[in-house]
Amino acid sequence: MKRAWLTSAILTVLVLAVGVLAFYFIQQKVPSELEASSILDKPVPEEDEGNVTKNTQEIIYESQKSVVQIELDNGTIGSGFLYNDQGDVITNAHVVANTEDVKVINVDSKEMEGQVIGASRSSDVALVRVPDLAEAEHDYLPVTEDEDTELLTEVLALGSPLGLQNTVTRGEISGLDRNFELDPFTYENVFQISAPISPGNSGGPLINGETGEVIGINSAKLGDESIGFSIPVLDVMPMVQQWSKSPMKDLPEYPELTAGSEALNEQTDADQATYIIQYFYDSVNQGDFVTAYSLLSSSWQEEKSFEEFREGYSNTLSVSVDNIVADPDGEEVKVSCVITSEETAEGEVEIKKYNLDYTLGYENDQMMILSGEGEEVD
Amino acid sequence: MVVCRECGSENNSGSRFCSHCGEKLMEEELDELGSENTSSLYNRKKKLVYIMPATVLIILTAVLVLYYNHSVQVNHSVLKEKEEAEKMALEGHYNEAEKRLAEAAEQRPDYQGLERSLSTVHDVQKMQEDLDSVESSIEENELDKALEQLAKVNKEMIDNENQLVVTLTPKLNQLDSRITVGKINNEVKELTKVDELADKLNTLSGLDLEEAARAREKITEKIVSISTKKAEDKINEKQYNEAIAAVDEGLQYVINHEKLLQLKERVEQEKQAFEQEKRERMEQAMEQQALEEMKNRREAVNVLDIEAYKDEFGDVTIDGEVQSEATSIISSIEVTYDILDKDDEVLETDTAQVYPMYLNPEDKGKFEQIYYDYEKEEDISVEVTNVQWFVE
Repeated sequence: MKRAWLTSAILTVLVLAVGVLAFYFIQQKVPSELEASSILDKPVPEEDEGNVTKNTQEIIYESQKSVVQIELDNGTIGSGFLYNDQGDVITNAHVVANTEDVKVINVDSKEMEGQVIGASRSSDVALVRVPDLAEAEHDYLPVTEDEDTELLTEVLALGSPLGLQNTVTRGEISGLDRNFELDPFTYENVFQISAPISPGNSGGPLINGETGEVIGINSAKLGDESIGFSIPVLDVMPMVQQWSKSPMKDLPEYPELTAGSEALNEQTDADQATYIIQYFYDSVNQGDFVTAYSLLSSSWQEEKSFEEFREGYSNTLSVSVDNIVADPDGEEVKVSCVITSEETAEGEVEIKKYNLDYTLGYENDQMMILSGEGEEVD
Repeated sequence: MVVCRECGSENNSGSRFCSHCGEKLMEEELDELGSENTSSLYNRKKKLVYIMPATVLIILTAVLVLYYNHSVQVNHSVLKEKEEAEKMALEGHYNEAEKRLAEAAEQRPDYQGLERSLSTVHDVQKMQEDLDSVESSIEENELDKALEQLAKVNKEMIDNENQLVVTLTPKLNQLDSRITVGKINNEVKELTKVDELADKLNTLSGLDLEEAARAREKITEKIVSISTKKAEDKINEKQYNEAIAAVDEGLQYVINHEKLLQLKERVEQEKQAFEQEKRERMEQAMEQQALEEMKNRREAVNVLDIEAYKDEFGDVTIDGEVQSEATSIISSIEVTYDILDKDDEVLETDTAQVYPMYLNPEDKGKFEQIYYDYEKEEDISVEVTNVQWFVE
C-alpha cells in the first residue's frame, strides 16, 4: 500500500513539473511566434525613374515630327515646335511679331494655317495654335521638368535655318545665365550653345541629346559670330500655358520690329538732337517756318500758334548756328547753342548773338523740341 | 484461496499463476484479499491511489490547453491591434496609433516589432510637433525662422526616411509652399516692376494652394495697376507706343484683362487723335504760310500817301509814305508812278526807292523825288502804278 501512494505522489509531482514546464514553454514560445517586423519603419521603396536613354537617331526621328517651319506673308521664316495635344506651337515672338495669321509647314511639307494666340513683349516667346495639328493627334515634344541644366550638356538644335527644313545641329551648352537685351526683348538667364544656328532656327527647340526633352527655345543671334542662344523653356512655360488656356484677344504690338525703324535708332539721341536744332535754324533761315514749326512738340505748338511763332522771326533776316552742344539728360537731351542773327530795326540791320537752351525729347516716338529759352549775348 | 484479479476464478493459495487464465497472481492480493468482499474494496483503494496524478494531469492539460489558446489569442489580438495601429499611423492618426500600440505593448512587452512601430510613431510625433511649430512660425510671419526649422525637420526626415515618415511629406511640402507664398507676399509689396512680379507669378504657378491662388490674384492686380500707371504716364508724355507696350506687357501675364484691353484701345484712340490734331495743325500752318507768302508777294506794301507839290522855285517834289503789310521783312521797295498834267496826260513814268531799305512788318517807309522840269505845268498830280519789293 505505501509503495502505491509513493508512486502516485511521484507521478503527481512529475505531472505538475511537466505541466509547469509546458506552461513556461507556452509563455515563451507563443509570444515569440510574433514576427519582429514593423511596417512603419520599413524603408520607402525606391521609385524606379525609368530613365531610358534613347539613342540620338531615335530622338531626332521622333522630334522632327513635332518641329514645324513658320512662314509669314512678308517672307519671314522661323521654326517652332508642338508642345501639347491642342496643336499649340511654341516659337519666338520676333518671328511672328505684328501678325496674327501664319503659315505652318510640318516635316511632310504639309501647309497649315496657324493663329498667334499669345506673345510676350518682354521675353522672345509666342504661341501659335494650329488646329490641324490638334486634330491629327500629333506627337508633341516632351518639355523638361528638370530645372538644372548643366554646362556641356549635349544638345540638338532643330529647325529650318535659311528655310532649309529639318536641319539638325548638334552641340553642347557652352554657357549659362547669359543676360542681354535686344529691343524690345530681354533675354534673361539664357543658354549659350555651341550648336550653330541661323535666323531660320529662331523658335526651334533645343533638345537634350540624352532624354529627348525640350530644354530651350533657340533664339536671337548676336552679331555675325556663330554663337547661338536658347531661352530656357521652363522660365516661360507658366506664361505659355496661360496663353494656351486663354488665348489673347489682343496681341501685343512691336513697333520696334517693323521694317525701317531700325535705321533711325542707329543714331544716338544727342546726335539726333543736334541735327534737329541745326535743321530748325536752317529752316528758319530759309523762311520755311512750317518745317521749323513742325519740329516743336505738340504741347509747345498748342501754346504757341504758327502765327505767333512766325511773328517771332518777323524781323530776322538770317540766322546761323555758331556753336552747338548736346547733353543727354535721362530720356531727354539738353542742347545749348549760340546763334548769330541778322535783324532789322528801324530799317537798320543789326547783328545779334543769342545763347539758347533747348530741351528735346521723344513724343510719339519722334524726337521733338520740347522747350527752349534764350537770351541775347552782349 | 487466491482469487484471480482477472477472471475471478479461485486458485490454490500459493499458486503464482491463475490456473484458469494464466494471469500472474499478486502477492498482495494473496495477502490481503481473502474473500470476494475484500477484493472489491481492495480494488477501489488501489484506484484511489492513482486518481490524484490522473486528476492533476487532466486539470493541468486543460489549463495548459486553455492557456495556450489564450496566448495564441493574445498573439492574434496583439497582431491585429498592431496592424490596425500601423494602418492608422500610416493614415496620419499618430496619437491614436500610439495609444493602441502602447496598449498592445502592455500585453506583449517583449515584442520588438511593436516596440519598433511605437518608437517610429514617437519619432514621427516629434517631427509633427516640429512641423506644427513651423506652422505657427508661418502664422506669425516669421518666415526665415520657419524656413530654418523646416530645413531641420526635412533633414531629420531624410535621415530617418521610412514608410511612416514619408506620410509627413505632404505636410512638409505644403508648409514649404506656404513659406514660399508668404515670402512672395512680403516681397510683392516692394516690387514695382512687371517682370519681377511675373517672376513671382512663375514661382507660384507650380503651387496648388489656396494661399497661392490669393497671392497670384494680388500679383496680377498689381501688374494691372503698374501697367496702367505706366501707360497713363506715357500717354501724358505723348509716347503712345510706349504706353501700348506697357499695356501689352501687362496683358501677357494677365491675359485678356478687360480694363487693360480698354486702356489699350483708349491709347490707340488718343494716339490717332494726337496724330490727327498734329496733322491738322501742320496743315493749317502750311495754309497760313501759303496765304502769307502770297500776301507778302502780292500785297505786302500799302501806299499810304503820295503827293506832288511845287515849291516857290517851281520844283516839283513827289513824296509819299508806304507801310509794310507783310509778315516778314521786305526790302528794296520801289514805287512806280505816273506824273500827270492837268488833263491827266502822263508826263513821265518814274520809280522811287523807299527808305529805309528794310521794312519790318507794319513799319513805315518814305520816298521822295524832286523834278525840275515841270515849272510850266500848272497842275501836277501823281498816280502809283506799281510797287515792287523783295521778301526777305
